Amino acid sequence: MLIDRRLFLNFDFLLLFAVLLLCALGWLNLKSICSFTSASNQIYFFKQIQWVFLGFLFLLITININYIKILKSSYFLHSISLLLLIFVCLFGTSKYGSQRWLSIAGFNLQPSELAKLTFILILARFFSENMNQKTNTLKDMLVPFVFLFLTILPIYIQPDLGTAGMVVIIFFSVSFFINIHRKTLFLFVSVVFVSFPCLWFFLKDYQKQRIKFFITPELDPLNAGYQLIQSKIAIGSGGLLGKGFMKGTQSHLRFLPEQHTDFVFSVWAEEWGFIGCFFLLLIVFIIIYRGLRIAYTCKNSSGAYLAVGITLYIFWQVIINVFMTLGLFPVVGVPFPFFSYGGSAMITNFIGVGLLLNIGMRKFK
Amino acid sequence: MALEFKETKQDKVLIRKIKIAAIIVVIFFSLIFLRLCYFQIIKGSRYAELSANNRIRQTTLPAPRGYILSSDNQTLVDNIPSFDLMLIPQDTVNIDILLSEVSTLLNINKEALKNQVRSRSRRPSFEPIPLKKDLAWNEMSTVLSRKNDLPGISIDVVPRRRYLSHANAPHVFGFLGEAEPRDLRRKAPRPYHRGELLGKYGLEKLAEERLRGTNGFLQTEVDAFGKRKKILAKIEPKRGKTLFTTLIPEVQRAADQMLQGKTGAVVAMDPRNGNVLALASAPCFDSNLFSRGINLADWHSFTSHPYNPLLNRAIQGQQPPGSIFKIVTLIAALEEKKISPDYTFFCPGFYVLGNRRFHCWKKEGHGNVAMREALVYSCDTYFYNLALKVGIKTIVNYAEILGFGTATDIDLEGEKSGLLPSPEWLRKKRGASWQKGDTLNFCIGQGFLQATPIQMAAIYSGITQNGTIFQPRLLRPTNDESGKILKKYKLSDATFRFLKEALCGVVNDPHGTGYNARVPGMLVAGKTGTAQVVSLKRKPKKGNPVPRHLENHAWFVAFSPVAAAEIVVCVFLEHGGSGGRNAAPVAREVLKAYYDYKKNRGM
Repeated sequence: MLIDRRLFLNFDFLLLFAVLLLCALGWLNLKSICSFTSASNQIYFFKQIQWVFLGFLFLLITININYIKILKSSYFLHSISLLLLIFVCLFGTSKYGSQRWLSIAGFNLQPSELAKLTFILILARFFSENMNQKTNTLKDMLVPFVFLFLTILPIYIQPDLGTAGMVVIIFFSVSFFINIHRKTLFLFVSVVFVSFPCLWFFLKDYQKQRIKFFITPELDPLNAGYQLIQSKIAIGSGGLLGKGFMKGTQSHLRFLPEQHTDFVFSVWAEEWGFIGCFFLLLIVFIIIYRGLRIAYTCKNSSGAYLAVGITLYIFWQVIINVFMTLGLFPVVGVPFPFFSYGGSAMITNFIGVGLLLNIGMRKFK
Repeated sequence: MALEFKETKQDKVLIRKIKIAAIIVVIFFSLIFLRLCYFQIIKGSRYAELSANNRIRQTTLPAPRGYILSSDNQTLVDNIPSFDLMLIPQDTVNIDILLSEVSTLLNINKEALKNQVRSRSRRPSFEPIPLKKDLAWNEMSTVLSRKNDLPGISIDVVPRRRYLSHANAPHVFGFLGEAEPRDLRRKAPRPYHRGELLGKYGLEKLAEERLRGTNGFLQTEVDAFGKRKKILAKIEPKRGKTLFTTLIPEVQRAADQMLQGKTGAVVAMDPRNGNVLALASAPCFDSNLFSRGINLADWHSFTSHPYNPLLNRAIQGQQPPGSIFKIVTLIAALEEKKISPDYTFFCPGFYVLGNRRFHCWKKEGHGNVAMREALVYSCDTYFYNLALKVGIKTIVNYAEILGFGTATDIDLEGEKSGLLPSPEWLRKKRGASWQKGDTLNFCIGQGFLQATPIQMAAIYSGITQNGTIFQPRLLRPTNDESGKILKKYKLSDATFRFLKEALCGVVNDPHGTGYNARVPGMLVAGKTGTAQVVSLKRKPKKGNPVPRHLENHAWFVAFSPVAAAEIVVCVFLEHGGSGGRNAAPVAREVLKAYYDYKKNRGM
């Protein structure tokens, strides 16, 4: 299918390799986690292979459609995402007390994952079309804020505050790259600072608790605080070289909660030590670096916006997840991309990387 | 719509900002590395140690339950420390040898210990397994002196519920039991954990949320032998809230003692506000047996008991009330002005209806009796005549007004509402039509009619309050001392006056059936009831002993002082013989206890 030689030449094999390597390491880590937990957890290990293959399939499809075409239909795609979100609010499957799942052919899918990606698409298109060549004021930012509000609302209703927060982070990350008038920027920063405490009232009780416990873990040495202590012990006890594959005792004794999603990094750090963590984060760094490089070399502003959006999306997921396990951020349930167990997230991330490769391939076209 | 991209023009701002983003990315990664360096390299050995010794132990400090106090704030139920022998499998060197040692030290069957450990084998090995609850002092000192040779063994101090003996009211307080699967699943604000005790009966169950405290937690760092090295965090347990009851221990004790060896119930209540001063049911049980999880033998002794001690007869025992019902027939006649109180009927000892004889309890008959004497001597024949004059519908109507057939809503679970039959009820339920004979049985409180002791106490308290029945309550409200009105009805003052005077005669007239209930120095009124289980004919001939299950039910309801009653006592003795001979003395002792209590308090 890759007919054009230029497409092949510009293909970022290093990026793809790094992503696949990360998947492989995640799978290895999952094997260790599953080896000592109950039988019901074994299923994660096998399902993860399916998810990786499915994700890769989506990646192949994505790179074969010119991203400009995708951008052209971005408003349509995002509308579909929003419709799915509304649909899931009404008919979705409940899990952990919030409705985020849509059951399709035996797979539970989270439309909110897809929405994050299509949100980056519409932002990239809108920014490059309307806001690229000028210094933007508050009036110019009105439409993007409407986009943000429309996207967040159904996610907030589910309620899935983690994803809603991620959408906000994506929004500000991409907005960072447009030229904003100094006064407007100042206004934004002050509004954000003022509204931060107000956000408190929109949180659910358990979310407030999490934040309280993050600030003062002594309040809850039992649950959240306890998890954090155990996570720190797991990471710290890994030392320089780690305890070795499948030899992590913290995870063996089931001290760590949500090992296959939220705390995968702790398990990895315990078994592979500082060296292992360095290697793992190096791979992530390569992915981020290549992503930014694609944005940098892109001759097309819409491609550049899209590339930084996707790259930073992956970046923030990693940072939040690792910060969580290191006690630098409250436990909010953001998985490690490509490394944690996950279905919808895996597919979304693969599509994202597919778009990155896509932009990289076609930068001279 | 075509997109117009500026293909060649490089946006300088964009390029510069991508560079800034790259720097931010590097900063964040550096932060992670610094943090990892700190944890894994600088603090690595410390965390490795914590992890290797495992480290951090978490124990629950069970909260003591709230106390239960009497009306004068005496403690009725509290907690005492209990010492439990625990085993933490992870800390043991050789579990088999350890169990043999423990079994010889404390003289416990080793197999039993092994089974206890085996039943918990699927739990994490750092979770303590209870080996023996409630160690005696000598057992504890034996274990403590050998503690260093017994790695993995520890003694936990946990609060145990204690029901004090000076007010034995197991049917009121209830008992505790271990959380069952459905308790564990229940979405309480504070979920229960396996093995936790919670209220299963009586006030313990009803006021569970209030009595239950908040568990504390202890997080410690322990060494490889499970020895505590350092306390990392501690949250003290919080005792549950105190429960203030309306019980008077002295009155409760009198009721309890008078019921010893009998089957039945006693209810004493203050008619002015519904406060239940005593509530006893016999046979009873010892709530203390449940405080650490009841053993099977004790449980079987309850379930296989012929008279079911777990039944609270004061609120669940439904029986025909016998002659204590007669006031209803009398009220109906007076209110409907069917008869003058002076009108006399002749009692030859029976009443003939068709070809059937309805007996009066006195074979020789009462001769000519007017209304007052009829109640004082409890003449059945008079009431047969009266009932046929008044008519069944009117009597049923008044019975309903007075409170028959409806539960009193006392704050205990499982109260029965009794049964008030009527011609319609009989047709609907049994498909039979109401006969005059049924009316005769009904008017003297026999036949289908059923009532509970608490109901009778409430109904009589309504008489004393001239038509206001307060809902019986065991829990004292802190703010509002006045009672909650359950029912209010209106009868003429003359009726109430006549009724109280006549009921006073029952006790104080030398020939009155309740003569045994007199209390020196205090004026008592009341009514006896002897509910037949089988007709006189089928009873064995005089001289032969009557088998228990054919023996009559004895009732007595009393109130005192007559003019302004402050206590109503209802006594019910299941197959207990005669109301006057057997039940009245019980009421007398309860009333005496009440007045003694008042005298001692200088009230």
